[in-house]
Amino acid sequence: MAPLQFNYPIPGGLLLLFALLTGMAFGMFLEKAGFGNARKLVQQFYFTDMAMFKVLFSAIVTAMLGIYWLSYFGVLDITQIYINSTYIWPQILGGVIFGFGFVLAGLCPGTSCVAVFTGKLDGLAVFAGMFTGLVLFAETELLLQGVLNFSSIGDISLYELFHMEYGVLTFLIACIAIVAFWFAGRVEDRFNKLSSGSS
Amino acid sequence: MKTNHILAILAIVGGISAAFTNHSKKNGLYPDWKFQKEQVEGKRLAFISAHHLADLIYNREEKLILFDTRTWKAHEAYHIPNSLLYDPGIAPKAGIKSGIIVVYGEEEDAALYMLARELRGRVYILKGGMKAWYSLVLFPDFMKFHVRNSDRLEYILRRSRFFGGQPQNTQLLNLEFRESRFREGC
Amino acid sequence: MNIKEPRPYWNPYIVGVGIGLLIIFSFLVTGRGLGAIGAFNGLMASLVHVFAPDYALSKTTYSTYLAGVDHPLKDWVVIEIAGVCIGGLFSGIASRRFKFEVIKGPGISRMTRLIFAFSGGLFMAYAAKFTRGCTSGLALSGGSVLSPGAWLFMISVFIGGYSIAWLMKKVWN
Repeated sequence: MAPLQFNYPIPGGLLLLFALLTGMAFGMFLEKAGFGNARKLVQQFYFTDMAMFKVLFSAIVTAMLGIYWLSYFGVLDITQIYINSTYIWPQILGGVIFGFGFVLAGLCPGTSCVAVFTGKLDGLAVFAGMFTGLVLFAETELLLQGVLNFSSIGDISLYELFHMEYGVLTFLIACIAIVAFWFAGRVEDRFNKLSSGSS
Repeated sequence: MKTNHILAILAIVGGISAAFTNHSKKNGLYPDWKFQKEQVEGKRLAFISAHHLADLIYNREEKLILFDTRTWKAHEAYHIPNSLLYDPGIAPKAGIKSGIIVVYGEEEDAALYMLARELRGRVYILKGGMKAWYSLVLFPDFMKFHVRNSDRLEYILRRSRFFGGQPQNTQLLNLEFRESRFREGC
Repeated sequence: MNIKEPRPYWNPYIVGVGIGLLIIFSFLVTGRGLGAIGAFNGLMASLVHVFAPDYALSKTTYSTYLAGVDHPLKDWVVIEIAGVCIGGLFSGIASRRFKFEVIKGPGISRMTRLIFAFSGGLFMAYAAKFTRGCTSGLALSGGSVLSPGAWLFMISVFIGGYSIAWLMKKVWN
């Protein structure tokens, strides 16, 4: 019964080894998709290269389907996994600001590691910025207590929120994703034609 | 592009099959199903979940008539509040005109199904019988619920106490315990 | 001089499926998905703790990574990010994309780009503390377990990104 960590005695060292291997695979995938290059990542926001959207969404759909089926067949116990807590307004506003930062920097925290380790020096600047941001947050955290914990609804799931069946929502998201991918391909072609037509 | 088409087909197949499976109902512990009809031994019977029955009693929502089909001793030891020990004389031939009739036993068996078919009116069988009542209403084990909203968990705790029960593993209501397993944020 | 061409990028859907499988394995073994900003937070916490232990423990930003553990660096996310770095390095070398350079658009100087990168990182880390996660931890892992906050976060990131993109056109294109 998974998660293995809570049901079998696994030595901490083995878990950390697993973390290392998972991280290495993750880093490889990010680099192979070209996300070490900030300019490629940011093209998402100019519609000429929708790779970020494609990778993000296809990863979510794959993982979502996998978790659904594994928990359906009893391999994974979903009462024991971590479901991120929902803080409505902090996550909406934080998301918008994160989006600003993302286009400013061109890299997200995970991809900035890949960037630095493929020699891209702007990744180092992002590192420095992130460390500074954390220090700044630690300094100002007392002022922000009210905002930080506002509008929390706990670790509920989307299908509970919408009073839907888990399976139906999974199917809907898979469908929306496929339509979105097709659409993204069309948008990409259109914007690439536009920019190559004008030059 | 062929690979993309294959991936899309896999996703659609995985998704469609997901839509047609009863994931949450499969483990029987998901608290939100209320009534369902099932084909049992060739006849369609209607069931009510222990959670919904408890909600109806706790919230005084509907006129309920409960028939306990167990032995007198079992009924005496513990019965669902306001339930009557069933004997063939108390159910009028013409049927009960208003309200929901729920029949329950220790577990579901053929006699219970036959009784449910004989009675007239809106008859439901308590799904899982008294066993389900004990495990879901009186002694809910919070480790087994996959409802994680703490409001819902607190409600289940209050409801269990209302019926004189004792919830298990209530430390899950304690946010610190949940956080000690998982650090918030990633 | 024979300059080797960098290998082409992979099909993004394949990469996405690969990352999705990684997330599934991660949930199977640890009950949690991936993470990124948590590692930076842990690193920062251990660094501050070395120089000013009392200050570090007095701030919840750091103390959540210091309390109750052997060592803040022996943490799943920290080792995972170390793995991301190593994986990126090997992959970059193998794909012939390893190169010391500053990625920027043609219209600005390297200094401007580095300043933007710094401020972008600042905003991202600050916002990530509000949202309790970044794209890998919240959007990817939270999105796959259908956490509403994760989906809200993802939508907001795209909204924020697209709204500022037109301002940043000169920087990138």
